[in-house]
Amino acid sequence: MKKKKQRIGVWILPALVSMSVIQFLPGFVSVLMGFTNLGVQNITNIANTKFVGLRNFIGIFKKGTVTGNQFMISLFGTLEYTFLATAVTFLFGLGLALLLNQDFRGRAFVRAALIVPWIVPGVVAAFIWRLMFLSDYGVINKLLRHAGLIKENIFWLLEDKALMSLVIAHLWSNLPFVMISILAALQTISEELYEACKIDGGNVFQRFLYITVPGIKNVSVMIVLLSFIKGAGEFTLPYVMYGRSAPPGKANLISILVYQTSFQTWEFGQGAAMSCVVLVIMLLLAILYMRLAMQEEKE
Amino acid sequence: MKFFWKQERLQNRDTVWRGNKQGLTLQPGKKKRENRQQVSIDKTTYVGKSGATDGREQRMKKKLLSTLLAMALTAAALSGCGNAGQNAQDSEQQSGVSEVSKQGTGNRETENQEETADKPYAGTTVLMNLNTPSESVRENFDAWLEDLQARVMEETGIELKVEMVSWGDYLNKHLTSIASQEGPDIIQMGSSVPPVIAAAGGLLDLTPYMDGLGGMDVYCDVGKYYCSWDGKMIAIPWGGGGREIYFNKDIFDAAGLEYPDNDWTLEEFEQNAKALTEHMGKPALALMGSSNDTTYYFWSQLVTDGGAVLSEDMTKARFNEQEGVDAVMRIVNMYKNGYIPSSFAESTVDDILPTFINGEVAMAYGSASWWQDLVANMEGNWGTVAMPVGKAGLANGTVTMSAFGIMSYTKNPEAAAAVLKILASPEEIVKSTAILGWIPFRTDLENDPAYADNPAKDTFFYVAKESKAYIPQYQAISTVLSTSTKYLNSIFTQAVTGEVDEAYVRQQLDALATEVDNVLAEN
Amino acid sequence: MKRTKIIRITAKIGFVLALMAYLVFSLFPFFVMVSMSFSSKFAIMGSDTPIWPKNPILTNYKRMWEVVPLLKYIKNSIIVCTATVVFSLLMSVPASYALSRFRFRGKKTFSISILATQLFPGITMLLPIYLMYVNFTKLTGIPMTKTLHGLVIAFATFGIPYSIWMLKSYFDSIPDELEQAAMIDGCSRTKAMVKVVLPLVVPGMVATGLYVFLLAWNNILFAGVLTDQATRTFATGLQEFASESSTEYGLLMAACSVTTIPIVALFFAFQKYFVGGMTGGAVKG
Repeated sequence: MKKKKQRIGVWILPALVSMSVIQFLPGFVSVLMGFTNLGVQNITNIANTKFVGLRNFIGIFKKGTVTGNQFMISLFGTLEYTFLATAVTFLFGLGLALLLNQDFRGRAFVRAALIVPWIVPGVVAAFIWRLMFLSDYGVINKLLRHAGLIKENIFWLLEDKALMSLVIAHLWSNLPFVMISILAALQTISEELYEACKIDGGNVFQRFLYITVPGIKNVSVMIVLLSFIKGAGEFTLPYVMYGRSAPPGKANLISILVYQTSFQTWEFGQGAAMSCVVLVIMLLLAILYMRLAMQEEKE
Repeated sequence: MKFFWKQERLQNRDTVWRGNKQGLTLQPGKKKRENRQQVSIDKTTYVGKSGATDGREQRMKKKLLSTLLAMALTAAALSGCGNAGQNAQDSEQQSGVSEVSKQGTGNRETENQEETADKPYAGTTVLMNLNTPSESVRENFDAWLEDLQARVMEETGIELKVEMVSWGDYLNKHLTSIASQEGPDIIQMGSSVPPVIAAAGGLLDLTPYMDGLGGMDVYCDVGKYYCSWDGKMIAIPWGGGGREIYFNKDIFDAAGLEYPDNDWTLEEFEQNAKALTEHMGKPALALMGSSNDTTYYFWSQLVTDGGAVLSEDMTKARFNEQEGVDAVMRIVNMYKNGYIPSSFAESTVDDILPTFINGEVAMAYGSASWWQDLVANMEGNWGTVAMPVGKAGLANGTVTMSAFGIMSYTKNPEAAAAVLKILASPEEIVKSTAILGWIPFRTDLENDPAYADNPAKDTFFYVAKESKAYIPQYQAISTVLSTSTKYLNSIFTQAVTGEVDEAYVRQQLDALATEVDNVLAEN
Repeated sequence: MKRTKIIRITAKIGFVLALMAYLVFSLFPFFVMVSMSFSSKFAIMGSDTPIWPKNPILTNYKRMWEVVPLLKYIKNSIIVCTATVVFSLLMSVPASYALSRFRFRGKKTFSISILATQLFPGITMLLPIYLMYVNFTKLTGIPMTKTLHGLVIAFATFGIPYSIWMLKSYFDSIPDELEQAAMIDGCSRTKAMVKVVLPLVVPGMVATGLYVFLLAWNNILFAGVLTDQATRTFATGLQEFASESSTEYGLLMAACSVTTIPIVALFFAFQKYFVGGMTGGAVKG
């Protein structure tokens, strides 16, 4: 018995140690900062920071203050963005993977071409999308007008459509990853299963529902979770797309708000408190999701 | 017929494989891996076969190894390539980095204790962080830096290390330096940054060194204002310029309009916009509605009309008084009349400059650094003029300014001050600002021939001298700025997508004022 | 008969159309990027600019090397990203194997805490990590900030968790019986893992490695603060094309095109192994 336990410890040890040092420790410190008044006054002499209990946390929700008014908007905006982005990317990724699962000429080339968005750095992608979304000079409006689909310019970057524009840009960058992962899972489903199903009279939908879906379930669960995490922490895209100032309204995602609070006004206590609240909410959602996903498997 | 797919049978490793052990052979010394999937359909079992063979795995491994090898070789080749391509300054900086970290750990033995008459600081190293200038001036700027370093070495014996930081990162770097109490000795700060760092106690009081730096009187009022905190000078103005209105001379000529001069009024400004729009058949004025420049424009408009941004004691917002409302309504009405394009609600300064250069608009609210791009790229004739003036005189605000500061954690304040003395000397200021396209915030350098290629220099100097400073020197100024921008952007968005009237503007500005009051109260 | 033929043809047309839509969506912005790399700074915006620049120029491709030391930055990025991948995989392979195979106390806590640290916005971790580095340097004299190895360790903050997750699901797809059989034949657990399971999971490791590599490649937050001019990475270096009031779009896009194309070519050459053999299972072309 002892032997077995020791062995397990050895496996976990490297990851555990490295993660404790570079993740858990700073994470713990960050949470701690949320309860202090670390800010402009004492940044040079950190030993002077005092604990202020829940003051930062209350301050986040106070109406009439800068953070108070913005925090809830950002929080819900981020949640909306995360859900939309994850769902959209997953659905389109699934569709694309299904398409690419078929054999056709030039498939290798098409696959390589579809990988391109993944490789373009996030900064550059954000620049490009901003330039494309400009209402007067952006390519998208120009093409739409040319094709006669719209008469007046669409304001992609203004408050109403800002969130959707972010989702579109997110979709572009993340489609390849989802596509590749699902494609890999699809290819492990053996051909004979489909054959057997056809022989037994199944149509396309039944084949999809009873063979494809279970086959990719594991990978899909993981992908959705990863997308969710990525979406919740999205920073580069909105930051660069709005020229290093805050995006309007809902599109002012929570990570940008935290950045502004911590790094522009140097109020770390508040920034850390915000991060804690975000962490708790996102963690609850993630755990809920995992429970649901796991439960279906057990049935 | 019924289909059923028992997912768990596949996933539950125990069940599937137990019944199928005969399909699995593992011989000692030989590896054969087979993955089998099985489906039970109506009690018939179909076994899927898919196999990974030995050969494939080995080929895979080989390809992987060769890829890694290739990458490693590429990296090595690139490092050789890169080293050859680097100039001496770069390798100097590399060694400088390790020296500074030695410095940072307080190892003072590197300082040479011998004091010679003309090299009092021989052996000391001072590190300066500068922000990357625009690409078109980069080469000349680097050349100037090399000369500067040579001059510093010769006159004082100090080794001046310079590190270039990008505008995107430099605030983060200041912060981490201050928090850790080590980093560069001299830094460059853009507008609105000195108060924050000074409030944190991060900047050295430069008042005792001011005599060596030319004395207080040689600097413009505006420059001095933005470089002081709590009665002390904590930064030295380097250069910049104000915000001006750039106008396209050719279009003015074609429309039969006279060029504006520096004391044109707000009414004349609007009249020009109207006439130009009629002439061009499209919006003639470019403004930005989505960056901090918007707030600067708004503030300058209301101050020139007699208002104020904050109360004197900085406890209450005053920009929501009548002058502020009027200022916003002026912008909204200009949009409604068609003088400003609808894209202004999303524009940043990055978007406006190209439209001016391409002749899409006849007037634009631009910054002092525009003129070089204009000279290099614009085909038409252009001019620049100070902001239009209201009842209370010019309120330009000159917010485009960079300043030097010495960090308070520096281990060599005297040496850093000596470097600063050279940096801020008239000759070096003239050389560097001329290269960067700036004007200095000094009263004595206006007629230096180095600025002769700047067609806009007269306006810039005029603005520097005549402006009143009105942007509060306040540690939370960036919060105030970004919140104002948010509200203004919201108003302009509403104007572009819906309807805006004075009551709406008033309501928004009042809400903004409440938030700002809270910020002021907390700090 | 005829009906099925019509259905077949419509399905085929639909297939081609859908594929075309995806291709256009994926490649159009890239095309915009490349076309911008051939235009001068201010030709990009204007109400009349067509999709392809009127007067394409090649000078961007030459100038970009002169303005910013790109080669050095690319080299730094390659070193840092490769090291991050190697380090992350080394740390995470045993851990994800254990998560996949064993049941132990604190397993759930461990999994959840990995999840939790990723849900913290990266910016919050920045200052604590920086301070930790500075204090470490003070204590031991080993430089951490402004170094490549310091950056690798900082990247491992997301490299290791992501690797553990992804590898765990790949390990999960390989049946336990393989090691059981090997152990019955006398191998120790470690040996069984290394000789039997690991080769099967190599494609999964490659996929994970690629993902972590790209995450590290694109990171600007940590890379911006923890490096100085000598150790700067490519993605951060790209920011040098943006000065206070204007961005050199032409140069920026040129720099980006130049680095994207080799990576895509690499992928094209090796994709059989990335996609086809990702779980060591069925291979279809």
